[in-house]
Amino acid sequence: MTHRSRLAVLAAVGIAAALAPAAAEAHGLVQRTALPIPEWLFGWAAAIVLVASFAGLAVLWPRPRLQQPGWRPLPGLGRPLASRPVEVLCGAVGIALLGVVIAAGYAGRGSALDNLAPTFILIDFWVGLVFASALFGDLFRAFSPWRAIRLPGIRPYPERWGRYPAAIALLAFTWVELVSGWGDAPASLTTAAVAYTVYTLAAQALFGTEAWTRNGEAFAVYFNLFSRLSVWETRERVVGLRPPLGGLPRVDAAPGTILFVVVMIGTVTFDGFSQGPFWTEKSVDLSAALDGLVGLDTAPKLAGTVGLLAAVAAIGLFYRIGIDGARSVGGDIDAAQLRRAFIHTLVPIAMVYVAAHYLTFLLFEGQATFYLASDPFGNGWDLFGTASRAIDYTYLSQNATWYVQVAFVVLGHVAALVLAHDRALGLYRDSRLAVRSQYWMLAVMVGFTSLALWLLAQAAA
Amino acid sequence: MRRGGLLATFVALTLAAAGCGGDDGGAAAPADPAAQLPSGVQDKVRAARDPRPSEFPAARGKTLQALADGIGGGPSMGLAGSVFLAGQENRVAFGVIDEQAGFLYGKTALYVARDPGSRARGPYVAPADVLMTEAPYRSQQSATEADPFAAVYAAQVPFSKPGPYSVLAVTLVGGQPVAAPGQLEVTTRAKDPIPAVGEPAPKARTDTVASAGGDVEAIDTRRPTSDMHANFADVVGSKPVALLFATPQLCQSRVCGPVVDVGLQLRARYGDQVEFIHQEVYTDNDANKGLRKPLQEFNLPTEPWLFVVGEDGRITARLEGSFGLDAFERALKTAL
Repeated sequence: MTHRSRLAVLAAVGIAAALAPAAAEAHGLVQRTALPIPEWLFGWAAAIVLVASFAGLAVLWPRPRLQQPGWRPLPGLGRPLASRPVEVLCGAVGIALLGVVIAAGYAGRGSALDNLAPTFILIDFWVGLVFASALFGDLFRAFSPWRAIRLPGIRPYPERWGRYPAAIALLAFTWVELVSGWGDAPASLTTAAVAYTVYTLAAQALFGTEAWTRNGEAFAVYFNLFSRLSVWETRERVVGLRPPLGGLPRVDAAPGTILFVVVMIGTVTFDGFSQGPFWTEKSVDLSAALDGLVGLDTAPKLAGTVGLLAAVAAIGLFYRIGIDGARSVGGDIDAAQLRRAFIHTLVPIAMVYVAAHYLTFLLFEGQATFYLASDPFGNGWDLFGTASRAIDYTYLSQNATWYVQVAFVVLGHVAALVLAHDRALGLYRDSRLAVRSQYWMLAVMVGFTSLALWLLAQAAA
Repeated sequence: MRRGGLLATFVALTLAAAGCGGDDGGAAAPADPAAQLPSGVQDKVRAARDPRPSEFPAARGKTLQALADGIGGGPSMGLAGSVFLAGQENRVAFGVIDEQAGFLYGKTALYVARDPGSRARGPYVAPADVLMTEAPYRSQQSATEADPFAAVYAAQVPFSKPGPYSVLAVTLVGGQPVAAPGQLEVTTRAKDPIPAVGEPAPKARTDTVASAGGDVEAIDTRRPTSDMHANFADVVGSKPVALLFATPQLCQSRVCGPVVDVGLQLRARYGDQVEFIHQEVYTDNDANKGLRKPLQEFNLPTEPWLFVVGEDGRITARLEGSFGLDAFERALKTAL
């Protein structure tokens, strides 16, 4: 190990000591009494894993490996899987599913418990597809009901808009999910889905389906980013394999991409934060303060909106500080360029935030899909013989859930470190400068890890 | 052509859904509520839903003690209510618990007497009322209960005078009766501070998501939380209301039952006609902090309670303790 590498490790240990355990210890983590080691130790362990990974990367990963990742076609199935007939079939399935969900949302029973629409939209689609994308690639591109309707467009997409429309739509969707309360009202949620469909089709008619899918369609951008974690990639109508994480370095940092990724993390952060005692107490105070201005019914929503925007802003600020720190080590790359260059490294963090935070939501509440799909319109049907299949809450214990969540968090942040290290090696001509720039990225990763564990603890407190 | 086909399919599905939307736009009444139960108890509960007096020993002037001695004991009885009034028929709800602390299901009837040495009256048949709901309405608390309370027995028993009474629940197990003794206290209507059927319901301001500052978990211990949190004072007098006082997480008895789940299932059928409201019981969901204000306004000493209030604001039915789909639905119909 070189002198500089040793310094890097020492610096990293110092950063980790300053950040991780304090956050974890502050809340004593969650109400799990039977864990074999104290929960605050998980915070330390996670930080140590990150530091060790950082040191390992500094020593064992001297050249960029992911900037131009290899790709090879999947033997036999690569071409048929990406063929036009399969694409049309998948698109038709997507349209049919959207139709059934909209029909169920309006014609089915009136509560979120017994109507397919909320479960399908907020669990299967919003959460389940994140896991599916990270494992199996860009499935949503194939099944998107909106992309299935191919429109040429009548004018070019304004490049300066970049992914801002997608970021705004994503923020709006999370507002619907987390703040509006429409998730409990199937008809309202379905109306939001219909409105988004109309908006998307209009935008596609204007700018063309491909351009809008690539830039403005929030879910296409969202699931595409997660799919870049997977080993699957389609090139020229052939499905092939690439190294894990290999899709992320090639994310084009179009305008709005940073905002989009920050919204991805910030909204999940707010969801976790809002379930903890701190926010529940503060939101009641905030609602009471707003009550006189907007009324009792609107005040909690306004408070939630403030919290949501604040969480997104906090994540953006944290990333900006990390990048400004990386900029301070030297080199001739300006901060804006660095922010764009490293934004893809936050995608694994967004992934594990979703994975850790919504794991039980997907595993338990997601089982409702079985009985709801059998009787989508509440008529007493039993299409798949699963109408009476109840949710099994017992197959994953609370402790096992915690272990899985911590494993997700650590793995995701190590992946982010790998991506950042690899990008730094490609970006800086001097490899020592590259490593030094990563002290700050390590701080960012440790900070996000601590935040993730703290949020999990908050949600379970 | 392909898109036309898809559109046609979608329209057909929508029309089919709308056309088959069930009566009242809600869920059809389950033909056999026992089908919702675990297979191990389905048949027993199904049989227990239809007991007949002739299937039980006749009292024939025997004392309650003599009747019990002739039957043989073993199980114990858990009463699911505490307020019984003299001079009228009362719903006596209970569970029967066997020697292994599991719930016992079979055809059941109740006998009563002023004391064990007095002449027994009965049998008053106690049909089993299913507590376990269809899958969508089952809370996490219900779904993770190791030995769920699947059905509650309820007999309609007249008490002529106030004072203590001895009761004997007789359950047929494998065709043989087993007896479980219990005691209850009957009071007079004048001493009952709880709003009665026929009286106007107090215009209590029940907790809402807005009044809780958006923190629904503060006003609902069910997991997942329900959305039955309208303000009773805003609704009463304009439409029928089913006001349910219950605490799914903090219920302190084995026989309080998943009444909020039952309410949610029935709302799917009656939600267009009746406003369903769930009010949590304890201040800050802490049993040591006393009862929430709406319970105090109704003078409730126990939970759960259901009050069904007609469009005119008067109480049409009230149920204490555990109540299943049958009892809840009968209560709802008093306001329709």
